[in-house]
Amino acid sequence: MSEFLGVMGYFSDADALKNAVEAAHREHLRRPVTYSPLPDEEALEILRPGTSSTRWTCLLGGLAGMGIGWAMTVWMSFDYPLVVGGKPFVSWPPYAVIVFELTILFASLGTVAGFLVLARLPRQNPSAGYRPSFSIDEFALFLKCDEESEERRLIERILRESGADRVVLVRSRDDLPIRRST
Amino acid sequence: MSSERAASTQESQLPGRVPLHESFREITEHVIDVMQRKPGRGYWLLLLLSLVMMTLGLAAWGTQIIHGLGMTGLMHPMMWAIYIGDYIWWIGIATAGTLTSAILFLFRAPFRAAFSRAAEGMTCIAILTAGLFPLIHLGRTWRFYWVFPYPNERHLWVNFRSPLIIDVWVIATYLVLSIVYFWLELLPDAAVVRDRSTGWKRTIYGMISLGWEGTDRQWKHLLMASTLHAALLTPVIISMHSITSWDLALAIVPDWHYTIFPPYFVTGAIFSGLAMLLTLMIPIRSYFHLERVITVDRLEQLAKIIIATSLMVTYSYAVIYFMAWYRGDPIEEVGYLYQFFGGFKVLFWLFTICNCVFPLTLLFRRLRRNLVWLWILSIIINVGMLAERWCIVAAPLARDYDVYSWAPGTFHVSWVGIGITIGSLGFFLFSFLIFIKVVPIVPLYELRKDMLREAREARAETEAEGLLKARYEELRIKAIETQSGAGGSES
Amino acid sequence: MSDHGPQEVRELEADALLLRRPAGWLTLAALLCVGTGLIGFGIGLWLAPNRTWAAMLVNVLYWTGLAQAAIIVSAMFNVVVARWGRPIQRMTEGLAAFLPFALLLFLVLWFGRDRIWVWVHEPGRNGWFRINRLFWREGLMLLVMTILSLWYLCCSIRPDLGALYRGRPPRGFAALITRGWRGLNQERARSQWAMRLLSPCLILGYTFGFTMWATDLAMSLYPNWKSSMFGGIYWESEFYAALAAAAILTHLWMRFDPMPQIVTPRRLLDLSNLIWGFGFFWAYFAWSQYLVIWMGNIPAGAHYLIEEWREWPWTALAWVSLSLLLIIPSLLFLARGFKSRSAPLAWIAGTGALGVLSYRFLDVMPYIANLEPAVYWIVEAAITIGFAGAVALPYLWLMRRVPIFPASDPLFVEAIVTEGVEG
Repeated sequence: MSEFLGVMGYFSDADALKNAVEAAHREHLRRPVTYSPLPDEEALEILRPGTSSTRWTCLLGGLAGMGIGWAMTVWMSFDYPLVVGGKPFVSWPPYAVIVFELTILFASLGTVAGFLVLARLPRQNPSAGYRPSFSIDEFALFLKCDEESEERRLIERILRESGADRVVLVRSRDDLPIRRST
Repeated sequence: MSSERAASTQESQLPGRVPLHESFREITEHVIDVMQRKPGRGYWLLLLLSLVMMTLGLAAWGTQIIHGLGMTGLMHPMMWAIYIGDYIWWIGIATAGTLTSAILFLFRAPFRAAFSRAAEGMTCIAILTAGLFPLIHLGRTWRFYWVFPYPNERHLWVNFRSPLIIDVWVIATYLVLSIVYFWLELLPDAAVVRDRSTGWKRTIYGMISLGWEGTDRQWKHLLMASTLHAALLTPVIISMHSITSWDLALAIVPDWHYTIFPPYFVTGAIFSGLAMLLTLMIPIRSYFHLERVITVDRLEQLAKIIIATSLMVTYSYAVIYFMAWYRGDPIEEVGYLYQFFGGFKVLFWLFTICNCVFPLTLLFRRLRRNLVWLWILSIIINVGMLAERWCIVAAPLARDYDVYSWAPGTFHVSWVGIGITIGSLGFFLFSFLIFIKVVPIVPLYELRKDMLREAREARAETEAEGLLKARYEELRIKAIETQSGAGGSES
Repeated sequence: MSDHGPQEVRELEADALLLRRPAGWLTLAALLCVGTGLIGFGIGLWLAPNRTWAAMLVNVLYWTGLAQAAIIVSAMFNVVVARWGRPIQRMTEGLAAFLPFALLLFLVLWFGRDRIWVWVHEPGRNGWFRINRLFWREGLMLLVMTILSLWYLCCSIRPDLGALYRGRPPRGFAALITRGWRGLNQERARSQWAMRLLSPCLILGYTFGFTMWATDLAMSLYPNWKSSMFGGIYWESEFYAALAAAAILTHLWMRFDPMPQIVTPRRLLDLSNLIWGFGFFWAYFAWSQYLVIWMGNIPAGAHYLIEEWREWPWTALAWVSLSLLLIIPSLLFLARGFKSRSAPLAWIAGTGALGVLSYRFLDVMPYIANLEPAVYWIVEAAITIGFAGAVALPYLWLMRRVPIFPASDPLFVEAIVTEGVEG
């Protein structure tokens, strides 16, 4: 038995979607989810204010890389102590370059890890209301609500007033597990 | 999909609506069609050509493995010649790809989107190609793992002071970052291909796109991850080519030991790489009818960067040769005279004219916008930069501090060395041909984003423009009145 | 949507063309500074001539480079067709008014040539090392660059002055600049065309010419040594100082009315990112030089490094320069709050500019001033203050007479209108 999840409005352009998002924000509706084929930073700022925390995993990765770089070069130079070119064992100028590179390498890996975790990717199955046109030219706003509620009627009104081409009710698909969060 | 949409669109009713969805669909379908249609005769011919070139390269490499590095004609004192020159050249080509996709991203350059996918692909392939050369130049390629610091019974570790060892880490970093950045930028477009495919193709593109759906959460974090990678890639490409230059500059060979080498190599890399980008993009543009995306205006912006880097490279040459004369060291003087008039004069004048003189034609707007001339010039620049790499690597070795080991003439050119160079070009071409059939050649989501931004900006300007014209009269009068009232506000 | 509604843009436009007069006491202060400099110079010549001439050389290097680089900042924005830099362009360009005086002050160095360049009387070096030729070539280079820079400046201010005075006859300076006025639209087009031609010439002239200038005035102080990166480090750090000057001037002008609406926090953020980036760019150039010399360990280079970074008192100066130029600004710029407000930005930029100045001292002092007592640092301070006043005077004179915004620049208008429009 498929479960009622919420209401989704389809839009054909970004400004209409942005109007809808602003309206939903004003009415303090439950966490809206947008689907769009391009990142509209103005709308994203309303939906998810603040900067992404991927920055922090990047920083953590970078610090790890820095530590690994220094540890590796310095320890190995003392473990195999050979005077090369009259330079000291801890000849930091070239080592600094290696540390620089490893900092960036691990920062990148940290960024990827952070991105995957925060964006909840990879996902195996599509979300209930997803349509292939969302990746090409169609925008959508999905709002969670109960089937018989004042909220649902409010949502449908907001979506239509913002310029939605269509408003549909979203039910879970029988062949796919329900994902509680998007 | 469009048939399901309500018949009456409400676009005209709400103020300030921008009807872009048709452009989005059109461009998506055009680009994906180009990618997925059956390749024509030209494509197969080029593929065949690249396979022939690769076979030649493999034959040459095989010969070298069986009979030794002597087959390349490498001889003391010029132990570094073709292979190192080729390596530096390929890494330079990779640099420009990253410049276009990452650095211009940070500068928010509007013309970047048309090129960035091809540039990123070019980067990844060029790094792989470049990475072959240190392996080939080892001679005993199977011993390559000695450059890595692994625990061993002899208690040896690598010499981290050597720029060659630092190169290993930089190439690894650059390769990983480029592939990751390429893949991150590809996620939304892989989702497009997934949504339009069925069967095994759908599975594969689904895996590549990680189940991307374009939700706000996903976009937000993707934008940050992309920005961070672009910011990380910028110092990597500068350090990448600097370390390559330090392969030469950290030695005390007289005409190598210059402090300006890192910026000189980096600007030269950007210069030659952008030329290679033009060499690839101009045929792609006409062959796949992407004239509306890869516009002449955008190509002209690339041409402007090329003339700028050409002038920077000219500056570097001028400073290097001036400094060689300035100090009055007799060995250095002999070194550069040997390049101007001695054994290397062919290479020297070839690269000087190709890199410094020919690009000056780009100062003229008409030539900048002439795609035939841009393409020919890009080939000229590629040849010039390769000649310069060969010259800068080998010529100083021929005139070192040890006078008795000075070499007559230039380095020996054998079929093995040339064959491997051609083989690397074949590998690059082959990989690029596969690449354009496997991923969309332009970044669709960036193009959509640019189109939206341009539409919004145009709307803002139109709203204000009408007012501005009338306003100029007003403010002029107001300014004059204020002036005659003796001065503006007090401090 | 643009951040500014139509009414606001209208008012901004009106204000943009007005003249803003800086306070009268600033000119007085500048005159006092110049006086201090002259007195310091006089006393120094008597008590510590080496240090005095070294200080003169440092200041000629620093302030000439700064004034020239100020025009290059503007030229750079022109070449790159960047909209966001337009509002601060005029405030920075005005520094180029110092250039004719820079040329004169450079020629003053002739009288100290024996104390500055050790090779003046040395026979047998190659043809480059002749003091007459040095002054001829540098003088010519400066003259050409001054002419080009002032020409550029005129092209920039002419349409604005014409628009300001249209409808009544212009007086004085404005009359001189707007002679042969042909109508606003035509003048604007001619200006833009001329500036588009001049910008790349100026940039080329700056990089090539000032490499030669740095080589002759600073690198040749230690004639056994060469570094191909030296000229690059010089003109890059001067460009950085000019950007810092732009930030400081922006803050000083911020008290005047339309500034906060035109130079928005977003613009300040862009400017601070640019300064931050150029700080790292300097670090890259300096590191390129350092690593090659360190690894090669060739005597002349090693001596240069040891002299500047290990020997007392220059090691203190070296670390002070590094901290002021790179470490402190880079750390402080991590805080976003500092980047988008003009006051903190000005202070951080000022630190950077001071760092460049101390780096210029480091370039020069070890080779000239080694033997004289350290207490005469007061002479150097006085001369530096004098030069600062000498730069401020023409700037104040000019900025009294021209609008502080390039209101006739079409990209300036576009910049205001499209403020806040995101993709």
